[in-house]
Amino acid sequence: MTKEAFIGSVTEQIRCVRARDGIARELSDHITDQAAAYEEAGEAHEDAVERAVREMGDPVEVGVELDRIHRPQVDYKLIGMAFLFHIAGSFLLWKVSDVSLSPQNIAKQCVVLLLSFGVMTGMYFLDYSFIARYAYGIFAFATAAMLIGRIFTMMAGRTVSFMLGYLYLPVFVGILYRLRKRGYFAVIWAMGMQVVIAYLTYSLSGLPTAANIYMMCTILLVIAIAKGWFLVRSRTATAAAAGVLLLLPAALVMGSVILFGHGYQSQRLQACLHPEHYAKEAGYIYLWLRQKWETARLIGTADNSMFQSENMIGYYVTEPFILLQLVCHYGILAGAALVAAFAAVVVRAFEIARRQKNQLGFMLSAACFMVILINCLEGILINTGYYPVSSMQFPFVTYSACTGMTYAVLIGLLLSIYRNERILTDETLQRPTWRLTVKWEKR
Amino acid sequence: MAIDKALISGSTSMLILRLLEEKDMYGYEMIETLQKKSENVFVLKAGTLYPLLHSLEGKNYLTSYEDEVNGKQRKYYSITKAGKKYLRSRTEEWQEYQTAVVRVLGVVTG
Repeated sequence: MTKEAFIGSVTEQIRCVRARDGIARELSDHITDQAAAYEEAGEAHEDAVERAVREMGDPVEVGVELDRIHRPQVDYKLIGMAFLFHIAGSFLLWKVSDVSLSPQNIAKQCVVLLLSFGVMTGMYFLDYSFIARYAYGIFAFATAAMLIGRIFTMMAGRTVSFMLGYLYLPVFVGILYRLRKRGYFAVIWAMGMQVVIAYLTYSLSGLPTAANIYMMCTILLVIAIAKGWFLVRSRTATAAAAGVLLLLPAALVMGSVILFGHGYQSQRLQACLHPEHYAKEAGYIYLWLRQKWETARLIGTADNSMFQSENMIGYYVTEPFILLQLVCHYGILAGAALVAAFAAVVVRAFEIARRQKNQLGFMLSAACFMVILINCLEGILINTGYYPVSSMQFPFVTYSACTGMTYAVLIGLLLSIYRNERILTDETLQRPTWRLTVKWEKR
Repeated sequence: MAIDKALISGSTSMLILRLLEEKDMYGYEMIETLQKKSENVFVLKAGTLYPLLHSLEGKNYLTSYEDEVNGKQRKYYSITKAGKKYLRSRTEEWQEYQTAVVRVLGVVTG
């Protein structure tokens, strides 16, 4: 048997096309080394190669064994959680919020669920390395789509979901990946892109979301520098990048305070920190929230009419307060169960990020983890009255198609990363022969 | 001396991890070193080695990276912290097993 025939026979057994190249190269190198050793011992070239191939073993057995190892993995835990929590979230919204169970609302929610499941499934089957390969294209497309979407929604008298801004984070990771091995220029370029993304999200989604995204981009950039992506002195570059990126917003805040005095954002922060001083203004909501928690019961209804009766907080009776509404309807234990569900998703996202060996997979899953974690944490603090009331959305508990799709993209991305864990390595990702899909051949 | 394959197969991963504890190696180098160190007792086939290496990598006991040596691109394997921990537990297990076998054989042959 020739070397090529042996390798061909082995790789034919491996169903995952992306895994084949690396394995073929490794086996080919081995046969070459072994044949060279035999040649050195005095054998003719052809004999040496033939003997080296023979000693490799049965190609079908080797291929079947490698196929068993290099197959896509299914994260049943996260899939189970995503489906269960999506459906449970919809029931929760109908059960405890003030939205009526009209056929129109049910149909709308079914569309949101179907869209979320569709997007999640699409992302799951997609080879996530496309984010790195087409990072700038995705960035341009996403920005254009959001701007056009905003114009249309404004014309229709509605607002576009601020959650969509979080989708810039995986794109930012893709940009960082594209900038690898490009030195200090890459670090400066990445910082510039981060500022652009923060500005875009500020204009599309508002300051709180933009601040979160800016902070997460800073963390991702620092990790990329620490991991040696840019071939720069990591301590110097980390200190410089973190310094500049932290000083920039500080300078902006100082500048706006000097120019415009204590503005709206400052008042909001003060109202949250010292609500008792602003009891008749913005502080009312925080005092009200804390009071509701004080009157909540461990099990059972505390005051289930409050959201309808108290007009002052009518504006806020939306999905972000679902936790408090649940507590008021069914008690603190029910609220704890909801928090435990969010925690389970956050922990699973962290586990997926932690176990990634290839750097792109790690950074993308870290980005997804951060978005889910920050929104859940913020949501819990907002519900308890210890964080400025601002735009945030819990995962799974939403009427918004945009929010549903944002989380579906992030969870689908996590599933795709897990699925390709044993297939995509740093080496396969760096080869120019990237394909857009991982082919799965049925036997 | 020919050794029964069943005796070796259970401990191959332990032997590979032990080799990699000393230094990072590529596949061919591992087979060569193992053969030399065992004085030709352990002659591992490449068809056994690579699935084992990939499986240990999947379990996070090994990591791999590519490096150029003498103009040739090689895939090197390196033992991880988890791999070292696993090796320690397997070695202890093996020593316990070996002591027990020697004790029994000692009684039978003695």
